[in-house]
Amino acid sequence: MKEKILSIELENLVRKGKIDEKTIEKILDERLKQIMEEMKDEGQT
Amino acid sequence: MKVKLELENVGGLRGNHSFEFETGRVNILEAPNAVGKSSIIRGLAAVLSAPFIGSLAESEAEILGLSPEALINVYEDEATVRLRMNGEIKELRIRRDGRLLKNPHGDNKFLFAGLLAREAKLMRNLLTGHDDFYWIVSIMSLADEFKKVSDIIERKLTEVSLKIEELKRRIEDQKQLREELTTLETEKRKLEKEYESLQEELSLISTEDPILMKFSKEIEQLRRREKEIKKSINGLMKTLEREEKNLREVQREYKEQKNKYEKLKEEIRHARWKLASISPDEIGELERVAHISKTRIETLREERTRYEVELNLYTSALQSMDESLEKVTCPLCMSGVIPIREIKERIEKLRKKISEVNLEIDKAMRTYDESLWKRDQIIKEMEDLKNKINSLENELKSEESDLHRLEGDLNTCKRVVENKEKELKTKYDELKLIQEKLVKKYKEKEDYEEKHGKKKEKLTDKLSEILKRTGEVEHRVQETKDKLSEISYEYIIDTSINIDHAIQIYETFRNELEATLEDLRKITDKERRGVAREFNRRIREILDKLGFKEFEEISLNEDTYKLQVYRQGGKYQPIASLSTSERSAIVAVLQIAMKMTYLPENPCFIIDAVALDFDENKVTRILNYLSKLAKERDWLIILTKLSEKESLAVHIYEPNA
Repeated sequence: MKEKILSIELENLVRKGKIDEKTIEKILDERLKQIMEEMKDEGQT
Repeated sequence: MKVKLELENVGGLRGNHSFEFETGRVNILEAPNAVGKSSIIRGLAAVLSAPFIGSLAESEAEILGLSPEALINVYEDEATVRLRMNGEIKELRIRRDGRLLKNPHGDNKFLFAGLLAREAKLMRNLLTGHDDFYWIVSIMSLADEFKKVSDIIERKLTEVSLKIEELKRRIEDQKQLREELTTLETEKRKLEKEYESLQEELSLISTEDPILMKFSKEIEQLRRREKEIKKSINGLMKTLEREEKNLREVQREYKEQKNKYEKLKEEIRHARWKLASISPDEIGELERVAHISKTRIETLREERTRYEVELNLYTSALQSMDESLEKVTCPLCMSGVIPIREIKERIEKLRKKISEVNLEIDKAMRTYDESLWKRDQIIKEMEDLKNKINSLENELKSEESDLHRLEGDLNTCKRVVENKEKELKTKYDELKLIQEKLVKKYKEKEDYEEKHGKKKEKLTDKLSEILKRTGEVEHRVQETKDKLSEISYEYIIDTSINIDHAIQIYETFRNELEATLEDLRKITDKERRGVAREFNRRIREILDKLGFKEFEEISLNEDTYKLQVYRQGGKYQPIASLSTSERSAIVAVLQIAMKMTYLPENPCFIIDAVALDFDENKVTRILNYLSKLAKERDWLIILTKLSEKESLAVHIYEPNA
């Protein structure tokens, strides 16, 4: 399900017409950050 | 509802123009050629579609005559279009350089779906016989937007994959560097151990050698002595210098004195010579001349006395004589007769003789005086010379005494200088001896050191070599550690992370990106298929409403997006084989379907009657259908039509039954 997070978010934004390169880059960075956090948590547990 | 379109400097319409239309109806805009029909359509299309974003929209706008160059009146630099509709105002103000002064925020889709005209993309596509209509689903759906997102994801995926590759390479490098580090640290430990061992060995042999110490002591004593002699030499040199200066001074004085003495001697010699050159005969001769002169003077004086007596006689006789007589008695003898003239002549003659004797006496007197004066002068000169010689001789004696004294001084100084020179020479000899001894001692010490100090030297060299090598190894250890530290961490969004962990993060991210990309591809495909399906549904609906029975089906293939035309009985008809009027009719159907499918919210639809170049019955059916659509959806449909009337007019299409 985690793999779907990005595609769902991006699809919503495209449909709302609120998509541009900067926004996508920002979303991708955010997602990478989240993965880092998740993996850090996993590592801790 | 009324709609007002205001145009300023648009196309052929220079200045301000306004036109009114009605929503919910098909508005027919009728005018002859070159009155402004196209300018109105262009202005309306521009305000509904500008600004044009992307190369496709820009190119389409240019084909439709909506570029600034085509839109702005040739005599002006700026055009304005204002559309007042449903209480809203859409305004476009544009300059010739493309700068938008007022942005109407139009929809680029209008360029493709809002216009039914000869120049429209759909018409161009179909009239040229091309059946590929992928652009419809691409432009009109969100497929292009999804594609853009997919492209960015794909780019990111490439970046992440490259990063993972790089990190894997770094892990390999890290492994290699760690091995290198272990080797270097082992080498370092070995060198440190070797260094300690050498230090120990060196400490054992480096205690002071008594022979070397003796050599050093002797050398030190010799050097001290050498120093003392040098100091003494310096003192002597200064004294000698001073004495030599003194000697030079005495020598100068002596020379001066000697010159003076010699000069005096020369003066005396000269005076003597001068005295000797004066002859006593000269004095005698002068006295003899003086004597002769004196005798002569006396003789002359006697002679003069005789003449004077005779003269006195004649003069006295003449004074007592009667001068009228020619002859008188001689006054001397007093016996004879003598003429007076003769007495006068005689007086005259005597006077002359007396005068001559006087001259002779003067001359003799002068000679006499001169001779005596000269004699006195010579005598005086002789006396002077004698005095001078005496005086010079006295002076010479005094100078001679000074000269002797200076000679004594000179000899004393010379002796002092000679003594000092001898003393200095002795010191120099002594110094030379000491220096020879020193050289000998140094040589002896060097020979001894060479013989006995090699081991120590060897050890010291080895120690130095080990230190150098240790330094190099330490430097390499540090370098390797730095490199390791540099490659062992990766910055992910400003956070430094160990590369093993970074690889895991990036791999997870890559998997997610791959999944997202796959999802987006599916969504895009679904989107395309969805819009194609909707488009096809609309086409079917319109065909049904229009009752175009000759076509059983007109649709886009949902896999290839090619336009398929099937005649009754399911017969496939290639586009290229359709007649021009059939193609025009199909374009009209497709354009309306596009408008309804992709631009349903935009109430405007523009039709150029030229595009409706097919049978009248079909045109009427289409206009009736559009009229119904306009009414149902409150659309503003504008149909431009060529008219033979002189002016431009707008009237409402009335559908017939």
